[in-house]
Amino acid sequence: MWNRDRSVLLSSICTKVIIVLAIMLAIALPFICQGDFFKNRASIQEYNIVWLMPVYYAFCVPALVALFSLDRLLAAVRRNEVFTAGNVRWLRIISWCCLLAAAVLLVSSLVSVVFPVLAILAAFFGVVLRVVKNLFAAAVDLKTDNDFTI
Amino acid sequence: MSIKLHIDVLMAQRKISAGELAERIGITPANLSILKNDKARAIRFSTLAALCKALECQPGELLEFIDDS
Repeated sequence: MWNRDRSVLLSSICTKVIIVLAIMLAIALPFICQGDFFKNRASIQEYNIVWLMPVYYAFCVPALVALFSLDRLLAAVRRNEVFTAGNVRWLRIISWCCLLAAAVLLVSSLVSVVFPVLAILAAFFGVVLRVVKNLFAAAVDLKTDNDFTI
Repeated sequence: MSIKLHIDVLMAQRKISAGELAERIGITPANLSILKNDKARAIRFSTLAALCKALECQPGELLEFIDDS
């Protein structure tokens, strides 16, 4: 039967898988750009995707920090510690990481027209998470009031 | 500005232990400790009434307003 615990577990597994994939891609990217993974090496070199490397590595740092924070947040939810000051801190970190990623993508607009769209998306997520963080902070205050009302 | 609870004083005067008082007013010893240590943010009328009944006192004897400013 599908329940909240399994849903949180699935989210946690997905987060960990994405962290591993992001790290693996960071390691493999130089080889991909050189065309080492492809039979027809010349064809991949024609695309000249070397410019992807600095963009990906600059984007990878806030993305990995955000994913790690998300994993910690999910671990707290699994422990039934939802409305805590610690979780507000994780949400704040994720929100800032999204905004930082948006800044990286905005700068990367110089090399490709796709990045401004992604930058707007990342900024949107950052702002939404900031609002969620504010809601969480208010909920933590209410919970503390409730816990300390005897 | 703060409100101070004089539970300790009244407990000593009535010779009631913390465990016994907690049991009489129907709260956990942990919550009684929060009240005694002035960590509580609010107190329910029902708890205040139970405290007054157990300690045979009036709310005014339990609560004191302290102007910190």
